[in-house]
Amino acid sequence: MSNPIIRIHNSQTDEVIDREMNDAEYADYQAQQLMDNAKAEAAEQAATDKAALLAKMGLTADEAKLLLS
Amino acid sequence: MAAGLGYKEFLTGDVLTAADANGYLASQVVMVFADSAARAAAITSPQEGMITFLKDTNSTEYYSGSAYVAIAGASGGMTLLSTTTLSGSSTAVTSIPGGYINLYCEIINFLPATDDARIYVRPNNISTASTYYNADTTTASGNLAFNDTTFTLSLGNDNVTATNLTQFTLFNYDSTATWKMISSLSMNNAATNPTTTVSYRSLIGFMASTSAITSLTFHLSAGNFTSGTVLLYGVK
Repeated sequence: MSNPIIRIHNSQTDEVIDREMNDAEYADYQAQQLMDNAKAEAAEQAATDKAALLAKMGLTADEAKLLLS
Repeated sequence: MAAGLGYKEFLTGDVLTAADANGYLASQVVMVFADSAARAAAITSPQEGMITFLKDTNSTEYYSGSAYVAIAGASGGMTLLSTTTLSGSSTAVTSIPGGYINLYCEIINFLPATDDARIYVRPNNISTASTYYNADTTTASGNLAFNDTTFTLSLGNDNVTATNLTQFTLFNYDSTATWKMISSLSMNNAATNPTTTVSYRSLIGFMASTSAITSLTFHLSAGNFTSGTVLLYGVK
Protein backbone atom coordinates (compact mmCIF):
# COMPACT_ATOMS: atom_id res chain seq x y z
CA MET A 1 0.00 0.00 0.00
CA SER A 2 1.34 3.43 -0.92
CA ASN A 3 1.93 6.25 1.51
CA PRO A 4 -0.23 9.41 1.51
CA ILE A 5 0.61 12.25 -0.87
CA ILE A 6 2.32 15.42 0.30
CA ARG A 7 2.33 18.66 -1.71
CA ILE A 8 5.38 20.92 -1.54
CA HIS A 9 5.10 24.44 -2.96
CA ASN A 10 8.29 26.49 -3.23
CA SER A 11 7.15 30.05 -2.59
CA GLN A 12 10.09 31.58 -4.47
CA THR A 13 10.18 29.48 -7.63
CA ASP A 14 6.45 28.58 -7.61
CA GLU A 15 7.43 24.96 -8.23
CA VAL A 16 4.83 22.48 -6.95
CA ILE A 17 5.75 18.86 -6.24
CA ASP A 18 3.22 16.19 -5.33
CA ARG A 19 4.84 13.02 -4.07
CA GLU A 20 4.34 10.14 -1.68
CA MET A 21 5.46 10.72 1.88
CA ASN A 22 8.68 8.94 2.70
CA ASP A 23 8.61 6.45 5.56
CA ALA A 24 9.85 8.95 8.15
CA GLU A 25 7.23 11.50 7.11
CA TYR A 26 4.52 8.86 7.17
CA ALA A 27 5.54 7.68 10.65
CA ASP A 28 5.39 11.28 11.86
CA TYR A 29 2.01 11.75 10.18
CA GLN A 30 0.60 8.64 11.85
CA ALA A 31 1.95 9.69 15.26
CA GLN A 32 0.28 13.07 14.83
CA GLN A 33 -3.03 11.45 13.91
CA LEU A 34 -2.87 9.24 17.01
CA MET A 35 -2.21 12.25 19.23
CA ASP A 36 -5.02 14.22 17.60
CA ASN A 37 -7.46 11.39 18.13
CA ALA A 38 -6.40 11.03 21.76
CA LYS A 39 -6.92 14.77 22.32
CA ALA A 40 -10.32 14.68 20.63
CA GLU A 41 -11.41 11.69 22.70
CA ALA A 42 -10.22 13.38 25.90
CA ALA A 43 -12.17 16.53 25.00
CA GLU A 44 -15.28 14.50 24.23
CA GLN A 45 -14.95 12.60 27.52
CA ALA A 46 -14.53 15.85 29.45
CA ALA A 47 -17.68 17.25 27.83
CA THR A 48 -19.58 14.05 28.65
CA ASP A 49 -18.36 14.10 32.25
CA LYS A 50 -19.33 17.75 32.61
CA ALA A 51 -22.81 17.15 31.27
CA ALA A 52 -23.26 14.17 33.59
CA LEU A 53 -22.15 16.22 36.60
CA LEU A 54 -24.49 19.08 35.74
CA ALA A 55 -27.37 16.64 35.37
CA LYS A 56 -26.53 15.10 38.74
CA MET A 57 -26.56 18.56 40.33
CA GLY A 58 -29.74 19.54 38.53
CA LEU A 59 -28.12 22.56 36.89
CA THR A 60 -28.03 23.84 33.33
CA ALA A 61 -24.74 24.90 31.76
CA ASP A 62 -25.79 28.55 31.98
CA GLU A 63 -26.65 28.19 35.66
CA ALA A 64 -23.28 26.59 36.32
CA LYS A 65 -21.56 29.42 34.46
CA LEU A 66 -23.46 31.97 36.53
CA LEU A 67 -22.47 30.17 39.71
CA LEU A 68 -18.79 30.27 38.80
CA SER A 69 -18.71 33.86 37.52
CA MET B 1 24.01 36.09 -15.52
CA ALA B 2 26.73 38.65 -14.97
CA ALA B 3 27.06 40.53 -11.73
CA GLY B 4 26.30 44.25 -11.83
CA LEU B 5 29.41 46.33 -12.63
CA GLY B 6 28.16 49.67 -11.38
CA TYR B 7 27.66 52.81 -13.47
CA LYS B 8 29.23 53.65 -16.81
CA GLU B 9 28.58 56.64 -19.03
CA PHE B 10 28.88 55.57 -22.66
CA LEU B 11 30.49 58.07 -25.01
CA THR B 12 30.05 58.51 -28.73
CA GLY B 13 32.11 55.92 -30.53
CA ASP B 14 32.44 53.58 -27.54
CA VAL B 15 32.18 49.86 -28.34
CA LEU B 16 29.36 48.20 -26.45
CA THR B 17 30.82 44.84 -25.52
CA ALA B 18 28.88 41.83 -24.37
CA ALA B 19 30.44 42.24 -20.93
CA ASP B 20 29.29 45.88 -20.74
CA ALA B 21 25.81 44.97 -21.92
CA ASN B 22 25.53 42.20 -19.36
CA GLY B 23 27.26 43.99 -16.51
CA TYR B 24 26.04 47.55 -16.92
CA LEU B 25 22.71 47.15 -18.66
CA ALA B 26 21.05 43.77 -18.21
CA SER B 27 21.90 43.56 -14.53
CA GLN B 28 20.51 46.96 -13.76
CA VAL B 29 17.26 47.35 -15.64
CA VAL B 30 13.94 46.29 -14.17
CA MET B 31 13.29 42.93 -15.78
CA VAL B 32 9.62 42.11 -16.34
CA PHE B 33 8.28 38.55 -15.98
CA ALA B 34 4.84 36.97 -16.03
CA ASP B 35 5.43 35.36 -12.63
CA SER B 36 8.15 34.04 -10.32
CA ALA B 37 8.32 30.73 -12.24
CA ALA B 38 9.13 32.53 -15.47
CA ARG B 39 11.76 34.56 -13.63
CA ALA B 40 13.35 31.45 -12.12
CA ALA B 41 13.51 29.86 -15.56
CA ALA B 42 15.09 32.93 -17.14
CA ILE B 43 17.55 33.84 -14.39
CA THR B 44 19.21 30.71 -13.08
CA SER B 45 22.01 32.59 -11.29
CA PRO B 46 20.56 35.83 -9.95
CA GLN B 47 23.03 38.43 -8.75
CA GLU B 48 22.71 40.60 -5.67
CA GLY B 49 20.99 43.88 -6.50
CA MET B 50 19.04 42.75 -9.54
CA ILE B 51 15.51 44.16 -9.74
CA THR B 52 12.53 42.39 -11.25
CA PHE B 53 8.84 43.10 -11.72
CA LEU B 54 6.25 40.28 -11.58
CA LYS B 55 3.10 40.91 -13.57
CA ASP B 56 0.90 38.41 -11.74
CA THR B 57 1.36 40.09 -8.36
CA ASN B 58 2.40 43.57 -9.56
CA SER B 59 5.41 43.40 -7.24
CA THR B 60 8.85 44.89 -7.67
CA GLU B 61 11.55 42.85 -5.98
CA TYR B 62 15.32 42.95 -5.55
CA TYR B 63 17.65 39.97 -5.14
CA SER B 64 19.34 40.10 -1.75
CA GLY B 65 21.99 37.53 -2.56
CA SER B 66 19.89 34.65 -1.27
CA ALA B 67 16.27 35.52 -2.11
CA TYR B 68 14.02 37.95 -3.94
CA VAL B 69 12.66 40.54 -1.53
CA ALA B 70 9.82 42.92 -2.23
CA ILE B 71 10.65 46.59 -2.40
CA ALA B 72 8.18 48.11 0.01
CA GLY B 73 7.54 51.74 0.76
CA ALA B 74 9.04 53.35 3.82
CA SER B 75 5.70 53.12 5.60
CA GLY B 76 5.56 49.36 5.08
CA GLY B 77 2.86 47.22 3.59
CA MET B 78 1.92 43.68 2.66
CA THR B 79 3.45 41.63 -0.12
CA LEU B 80 1.82 38.51 -1.48
CA LEU B 81 4.53 35.84 -1.28
CA SER B 82 2.63 32.81 -2.56
CA THR B 83 -0.74 31.36 -3.48
CA THR B 84 -0.99 27.64 -2.75
CA THR B 85 -3.73 25.12 -3.44
CA LEU B 86 -4.19 22.65 -0.60
CA SER B 87 -3.85 19.03 -1.69
CA GLY B 88 -2.90 15.60 -0.41
CA SER B 89 -2.66 14.71 3.25
CA SER B 90 -0.42 17.69 3.88
CA THR B 91 0.72 20.74 1.94
CA ALA B 92 3.97 22.59 2.62
CA VAL B 93 4.84 26.12 1.57
CA THR B 94 8.63 26.24 1.49
CA SER B 95 11.49 28.70 0.88
CA ILE B 96 9.63 31.54 2.61
CA PRO B 97 11.90 34.56 2.31
CA GLY B 98 13.08 36.53 5.31
CA GLY B 99 13.19 40.29 5.54
CA TYR B 100 9.65 41.00 6.71
CA ILE B 101 8.45 41.71 10.23
CA ASN B 102 5.53 39.27 10.31
CA LEU B 103 3.92 36.63 8.15
CA TYR B 104 0.19 36.97 7.53
CA CYS B 105 -1.72 34.00 6.15
CA GLU B 106 -5.28 33.44 4.95
CA ILE B 107 -6.70 29.98 4.38
CA ILE B 108 -9.79 30.27 2.22
CA ASN B 109 -12.44 27.55 1.94
CA PHE B 110 -10.43 24.57 3.11
CA LEU B 111 -12.43 21.42 2.49
CA PRO B 112 -11.38 18.13 4.08
CA ALA B 113 -12.24 14.79 2.52
CA THR B 114 -13.02 13.47 6.00
CA ASP B 115 -15.96 15.03 7.78
CA ASP B 116 -15.18 17.15 10.85
CA ALA B 117 -11.42 17.31 10.21
CA ARG B 118 -9.46 20.21 11.72
CA ILE B 119 -6.62 22.07 10.04
CA TYR B 120 -3.20 22.45 11.65
CA VAL B 121 -0.02 24.27 10.78
CA ARG B 122 3.55 23.44 11.67
CA PRO B 123 6.23 26.08 11.10
CA ASN B 124 9.43 24.50 9.75
CA ASN B 125 7.54 21.20 10.00
CA ILE B 126 8.86 20.70 13.53
CA SER B 127 6.95 17.79 15.03
CA THR B 128 9.00 17.30 18.18
CA ALA B 129 6.92 16.69 21.29
CA SER B 130 6.50 19.64 23.65
CA THR B 131 7.37 22.26 21.05
CA TYR B 132 4.02 24.05 20.89
CA TYR B 133 1.37 25.43 23.24
CA ASN B 134 -2.16 26.19 22.03
CA ALA B 135 -4.00 28.70 24.20
CA ASP B 136 -7.66 29.48 23.56
CA THR B 137 -10.18 31.79 25.16
CA THR B 138 -10.50 29.48 28.19
CA THR B 139 -6.78 29.54 28.97
CA ALA B 140 -5.84 31.62 31.96
CA SER B 141 -2.68 33.71 31.91
CA GLY B 142 0.17 32.01 33.66
CA ASN B 143 3.08 29.66 33.21
CA LEU B 144 2.28 27.27 30.37
CA ALA B 145 4.48 24.28 29.62
CA PHE B 146 4.91 23.46 25.93
CA ASN B 147 2.88 20.33 25.41
CA ASP B 148 1.90 19.94 21.77
CA THR B 149 3.26 18.98 18.36
CA THR B 150 1.41 21.47 16.16
CA PHE B 151 -0.76 24.59 16.09
CA THR B 152 -4.47 23.77 15.90
CA LEU B 153 -5.98 26.50 13.73
CA SER B 154 -9.61 25.41 13.50
CA LEU B 155 -12.31 23.14 14.74
CA GLY B 156 -13.66 20.44 12.44
CA ASN B 157 -15.09 21.41 9.05
CA ASP B 158 -17.80 19.79 7.04
CA ASN B 159 -16.61 17.65 4.13
CA VAL B 160 -19.13 19.05 1.62
CA THR B 161 -19.54 22.74 2.41
CA ALA B 162 -16.66 25.19 2.52
CA THR B 163 -17.39 28.88 2.99
CA ASN B 164 -14.77 29.23 5.68
CA LEU B 165 -11.87 31.53 6.48
CA THR B 166 -8.89 31.09 8.76
CA GLN B 167 -6.33 33.81 9.21
CA PHE B 168 -3.21 33.97 11.32
CA THR B 169 -0.17 36.10 11.93
CA LEU B 170 3.24 34.70 12.81
CA PHE B 171 5.13 37.39 14.63
CA ASN B 172 8.84 38.09 14.22
CA TYR B 173 9.03 34.94 12.14
CA ASP B 174 12.60 35.27 10.88
CA SER B 175 14.13 36.07 14.26
CA THR B 176 16.77 33.68 15.53
CA ALA B 177 16.65 35.24 18.98
CA THR B 178 13.07 34.68 20.15
CA TRP B 179 10.53 31.90 20.43
CA LYS B 180 7.68 32.22 17.96
CA MET B 181 4.10 33.35 18.57
CA ILE B 182 0.97 32.98 16.46
CA SER B 183 -2.41 34.70 16.66
CA SER B 184 -5.24 33.06 14.75
CA LEU B 185 -8.97 33.35 14.15
CA SER B 186 -11.00 30.74 12.35
CA MET B 187 -14.63 30.49 11.26
CA ASN B 188 -15.58 27.30 9.52
CA ASN B 189 -18.55 25.21 8.55
CA ALA B 190 -19.63 22.96 11.40
CA ALA B 191 -19.83 19.30 10.48
CA THR B 192 -23.46 19.33 11.61
CA ASN B 193 -25.68 21.96 9.95
CA PRO B 194 -22.72 23.37 7.98
CA THR B 195 -24.75 26.05 6.21
CA THR B 196 -26.31 27.43 9.38
CA THR B 197 -23.68 26.84 12.06
CA VAL B 198 -20.27 28.44 12.29
CA SER B 199 -17.45 26.76 14.18
CA TYR B 200 -15.26 29.37 15.78
CA ARG B 201 -11.76 29.08 17.18
CA SER B 202 -9.50 31.78 18.53
CA LEU B 203 -5.92 30.81 19.18
CA ILE B 204 -2.83 32.32 20.68
CA GLY B 205 -0.01 29.84 20.18
CA PHE B 206 3.57 29.65 21.26
CA MET B 207 6.45 27.68 19.79
CA ALA B 208 9.70 26.78 21.53
CA SER B 209 11.96 27.38 18.57
CA THR B 210 14.40 30.19 17.88
CA SER B 211 14.94 29.16 14.25
CA ALA B 212 13.82 31.53 11.51
CA ILE B 213 10.64 30.18 9.94
CA THR B 214 11.16 29.27 6.29
CA SER B 215 8.29 26.82 5.74
CA LEU B 216 4.71 26.20 6.82
CA THR B 217 3.20 22.72 6.64
CA PHE B 218 -0.59 22.47 6.68
CA HIS B 219 -2.19 19.18 7.64
CA LEU B 220 -5.48 17.76 8.86
CA SER B 221 -6.62 15.75 11.84
CA ALA B 222 -7.73 13.06 9.38
CA GLY B 223 -7.68 12.35 5.67
CA ASN B 224 -6.77 14.52 2.70
CA PHE B 225 -7.47 18.03 1.57
CA THR B 226 -10.13 18.15 -1.14
CA SER B 227 -9.53 21.82 -1.84
CA GLY B 228 -8.63 25.17 -0.33
CA THR B 229 -6.31 28.09 -0.96
CA VAL B 230 -3.50 29.49 1.17
CA LEU B 231 -2.42 33.10 0.63
CA LEU B 232 0.84 34.02 2.34
CA TYR B 233 1.91 37.63 2.79
CA GLY B 234 5.02 39.28 4.15
CA VAL B 235 4.23 42.28 6.33
CA LYS B 236 6.60 45.21 6.88
